[in-house]
Amino acid sequence: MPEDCKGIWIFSELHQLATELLGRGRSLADGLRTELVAVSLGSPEYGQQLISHGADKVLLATNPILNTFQVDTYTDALASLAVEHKPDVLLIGATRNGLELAPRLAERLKTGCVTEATRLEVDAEKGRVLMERVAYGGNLVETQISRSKPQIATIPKGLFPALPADASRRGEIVKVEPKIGNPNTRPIETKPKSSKGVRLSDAPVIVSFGRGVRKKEDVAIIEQFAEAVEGVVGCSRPIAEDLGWLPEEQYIGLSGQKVNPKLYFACGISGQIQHLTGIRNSRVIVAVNSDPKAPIFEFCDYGVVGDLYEVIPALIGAMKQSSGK
Amino acid sequence: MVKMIVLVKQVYQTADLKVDRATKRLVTQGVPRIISETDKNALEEAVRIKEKHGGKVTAITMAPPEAKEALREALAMGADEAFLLTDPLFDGSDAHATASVLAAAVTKLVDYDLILCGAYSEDLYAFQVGPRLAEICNLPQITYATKITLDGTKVVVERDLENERQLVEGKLPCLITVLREINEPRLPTLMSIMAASKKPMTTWAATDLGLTADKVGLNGALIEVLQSTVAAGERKRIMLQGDVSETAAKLIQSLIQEGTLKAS
Amino acid sequence: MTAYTINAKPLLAQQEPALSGISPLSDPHRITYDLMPAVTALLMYTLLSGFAIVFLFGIYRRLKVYFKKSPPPRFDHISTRILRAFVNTFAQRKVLKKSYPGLMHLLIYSGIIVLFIGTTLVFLDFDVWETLFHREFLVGSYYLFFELFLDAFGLIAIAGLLIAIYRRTFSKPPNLPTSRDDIFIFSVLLAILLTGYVMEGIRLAVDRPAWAPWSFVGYQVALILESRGLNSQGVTAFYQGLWWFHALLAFAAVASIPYTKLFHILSSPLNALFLHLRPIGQLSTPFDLRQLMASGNFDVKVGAATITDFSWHQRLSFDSCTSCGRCTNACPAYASGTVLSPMHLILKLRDFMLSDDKKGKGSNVIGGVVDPEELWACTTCRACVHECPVLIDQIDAILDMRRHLIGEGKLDRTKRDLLTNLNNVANPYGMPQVDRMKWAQGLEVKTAKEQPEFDVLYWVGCSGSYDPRNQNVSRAMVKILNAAKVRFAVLGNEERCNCEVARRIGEEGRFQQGALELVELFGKYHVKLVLTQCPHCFNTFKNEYPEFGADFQVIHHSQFIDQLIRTGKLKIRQESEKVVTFHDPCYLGRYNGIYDSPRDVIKSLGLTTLKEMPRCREDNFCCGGGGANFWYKVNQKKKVNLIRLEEALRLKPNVIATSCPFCTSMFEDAALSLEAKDSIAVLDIAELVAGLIESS
Repeated sequence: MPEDCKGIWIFSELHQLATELLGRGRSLADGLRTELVAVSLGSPEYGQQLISHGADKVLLATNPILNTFQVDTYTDALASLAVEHKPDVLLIGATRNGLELAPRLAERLKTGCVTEATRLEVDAEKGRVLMERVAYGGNLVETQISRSKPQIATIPKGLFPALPADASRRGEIVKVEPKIGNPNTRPIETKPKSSKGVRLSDAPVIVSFGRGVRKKEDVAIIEQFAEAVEGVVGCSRPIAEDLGWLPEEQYIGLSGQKVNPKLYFACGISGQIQHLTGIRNSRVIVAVNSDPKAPIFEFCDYGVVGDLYEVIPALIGAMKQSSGK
Repeated sequence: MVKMIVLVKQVYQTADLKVDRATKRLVTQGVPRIISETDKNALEEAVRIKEKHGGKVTAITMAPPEAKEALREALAMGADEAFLLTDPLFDGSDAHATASVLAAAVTKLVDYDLILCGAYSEDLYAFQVGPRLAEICNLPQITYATKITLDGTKVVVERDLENERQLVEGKLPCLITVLREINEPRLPTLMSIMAASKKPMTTWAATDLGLTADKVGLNGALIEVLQSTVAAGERKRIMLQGDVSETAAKLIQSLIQEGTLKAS
Repeated sequence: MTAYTINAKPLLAQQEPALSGISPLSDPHRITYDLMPAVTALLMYTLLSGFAIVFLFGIYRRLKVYFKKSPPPRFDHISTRILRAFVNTFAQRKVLKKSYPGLMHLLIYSGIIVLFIGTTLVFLDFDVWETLFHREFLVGSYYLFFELFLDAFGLIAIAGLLIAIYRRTFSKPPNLPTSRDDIFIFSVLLAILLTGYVMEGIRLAVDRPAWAPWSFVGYQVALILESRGLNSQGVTAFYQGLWWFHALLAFAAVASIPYTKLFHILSSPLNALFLHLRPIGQLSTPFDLRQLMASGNFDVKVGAATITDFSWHQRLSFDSCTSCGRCTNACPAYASGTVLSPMHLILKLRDFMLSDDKKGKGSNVIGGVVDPEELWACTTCRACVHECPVLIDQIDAILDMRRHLIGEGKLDRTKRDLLTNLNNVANPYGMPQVDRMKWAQGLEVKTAKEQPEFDVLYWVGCSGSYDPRNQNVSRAMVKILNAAKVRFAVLGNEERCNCEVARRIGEEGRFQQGALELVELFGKYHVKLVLTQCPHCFNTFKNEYPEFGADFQVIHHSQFIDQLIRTGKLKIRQESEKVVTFHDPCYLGRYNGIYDSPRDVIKSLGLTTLKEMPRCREDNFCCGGGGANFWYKVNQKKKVNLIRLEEALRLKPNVIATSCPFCTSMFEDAALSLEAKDSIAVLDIAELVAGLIESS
């Protein structure tokens, strides 16, 4: 199987994520001199859109059973297509759905799967794609390949940029009818969650503040910064318990939330032990405090001594600048 | 009466893992080994189901012999029996090889209604073993459970997805992966852990499970690790000085470059 | 009965004996059953037996509840016990801790006791002595002083009762509920006392003995009666009626003892007698881990969930509560608005224990009658135990219930994390063991491994090792120790939490495991003297570790520094001109009686002025960090540490001096919350001293 596998395939039930996968997939396909194929399951049918975002070919399965995501039907569909067409690499969007689909599919195809790969590199010499992922709380970075094909990887949202849509792009749209069995579970009800539903304990980026913020109205700068870095707002205990500026579920510390984000901003937080125990698991801690002797500086990766009322707006500005690049 | 199998993984407490800059390896000495938090949730859920409906809870883990302490904790939490799947041949297993070993054990245990495990393990966050095991054993999988209700041979599960909460119904036997929100695991006291040493703990090696060397461990893995680099270490404590806007720009740049922050 | 004529002449001049055969002034004696028919004695004793049965039945009913499923009482160290009971209850030492209500009670108490003794003497004299020896001893001057005494103490009792009634009606102090029992007791006692005087007055007016003025109150009553004209026939009938009324009231009062609040008359001294003899600071030990490990049987019930899980003595103690409210009024958890009120907790347990109707509540105390939050809110500061006049050990009961909750394992995440951290990394902060010596980087500190010859083991403690704020204190201590050329060592990365916090939260097994491990480690290094800056560590090493094999001395850093200064080993520059107030740590002060060492240290700092907070020394108000409260969230309306810091701030000091890492941490937090960081500095005494060491 491995030798005669070709093609970089991408799939995500989330169209935006699919375009991002195409963005990276395009360079992978070009690097390996192979075609970039996007799979679209159910409706809406994204044939032309996927082509315009870089796909050479789109496999369109329109069986109505695929209109809503269900792990059994989607595994059946993708497995059937993979067995038939033998792709080299299959990138799946790492939504929660994608994360439960990919390993099951991988097991069915008896192939390896790299969860939430953070880097993909073409190994032109060996004609393969090297996949990197982070483990052990960020302590270890592993370069992995799958021994069998297709090499499956799940890719998180926002890792790669999508290519701008090019309506003039031409490609092949093929209607397919993969073999699909009956689903083993039955959905009963679906309730939408509020969009601000990211829990502090799950948030990858947190912007947290303490008593360095002087007035409740000033929390707005923190919120602006959080938005700029796509982070969730948190605080130290006094903000929630004593001042009541934020609900109690949002304070981080010994008697509050324990968090483990990739990036934690501590703005105007002195760094008492009670707070530190809550943020220990953060991969990177950035501290902003006007007191150079604040204990938080012993505990951070990056420290900025300064007035947060100056530093935070400067950071917001710097974020805006970086997007310009 | 519900017979449940809970998959347990013993992991290093990630926050305490350090990197030896000289050898460029992870220092695991002195780092506590704990049951992965979501597996504790799975155990707790299984024990609660047993308390409500009656039945049996079997904890299994594929690990080196040190994991006996994890199984003792599982027994102290309320599991009735524990199986340690241990064999030097299992070293170097990836998710597929692990799932294969677990599947062999599950098959050997024959009689079960429900398999529970954490949706992911705290050290690797791979999200793979559960679905792989379900596939090998040809079981339906219901993932990201935040509430489980049993009704005869049916199970109704509340699932937590990014933008919605979903209620699904499935038939037993099936495999359910749980999230931390599902419950607060009980904490067994030292006394209950010591008392739990009376409960049966059995060790199975590759031969007991009918597994050959090519199916397990490094040989059985489908993923090959080409390179392993240690990334973080102690807190860097890089202090940034100078003009505010320059400092800010430098900080953002560093964060983006190292991949911690995504450019907007 | 003959009729008498009362003439208008004053009684003192009376020389003629009256018809009932009263001797002249030279032979004063009591006329028992005066004006009463002969059948009185028989009738009275019959009635008395009836009431006695009621009384005994009441006692039996309570004893049945105490001893249900309980081993019999222990009488070990009986003389210590008796002395303790005597000093605290009979001699009213604890009651008098609060002078105003103490005085009130003393008046009632002494009055009633004297009158009771008086009545008993009468009984002994007339019904026993006279019957046996045909003589009476209540005669002559004994009798005169007897009468004087009784009248005086009757007044004293009435005065006490009036103060009590005034207090409850007008002053209305907090947490002093007035129940039916209280009204009953006041009414009955007043009625008995007042009718007693009236009767005495009538007797005197009728008998007109020469020694009448010795019964000075009754004498005045007699004079009043005389001045209104006394019809002796009518008054006798009235007297007899009053006599039976008085007798019945008195019997009823005594019989009511096991049914009303009056029970404290019996329960308080018994409670004091049978209270455990553990040193203050040592919690109870429900099992011995070593024994369990040897036997392999861990199926031991730990903690109290139902009434019968409490020892008989604990049950007696619940029954001893007099609802005085002192414990609750001193309780920091109560002051901060949590659901805990020690008095109400004990009363709820008592009511539940005595009620027959347990339907709907199950037999489980916790959850039904006691809210787990009440148990978690306790800081174990011991103010309640310290205040209790009848020696109830509230903490003992709370701990037993906590142990049950811990045994169930259904804890919130913060409590779980605390214990998980202890299990995983041997410290409650969850910090890596390998980081334990980080605080000492750059300092001259040797570990016991490096330097096995040392005089003092400096126990840094988890807080001193990991909390950045308290690492400063550790560093200050090292500076002091080196300046005083003390040969010390630390355990370094081998140091592990002594698990005091595990015991306080109720995880007894973990505590014992930690204790046994640490004792072994200390043994390995032949540790003779342990120096610690943490009163919790100090307390557990001193009072709890010996049970697990510890045979080393322990000294708190306030004592040690004080010694160093006194003996001249440490020289301090005399230039500090600060106003300092000292916060007594509960575990140093109330628990271990150490109040002066830290104060002496502060006073030795040159021109420092020491101002005392209103609640200081053994009456100090907790910082809120004890009882494991530092580690989890307690639902309070106003945090304990804020209340205490505000109390300190009112003195306008520059510094609030502490000598406990938890107090330090709690006050730093409070200063932040109160935005008082610029007005007050929170400093451990070691930090105060280290800054002023005279460099040689």
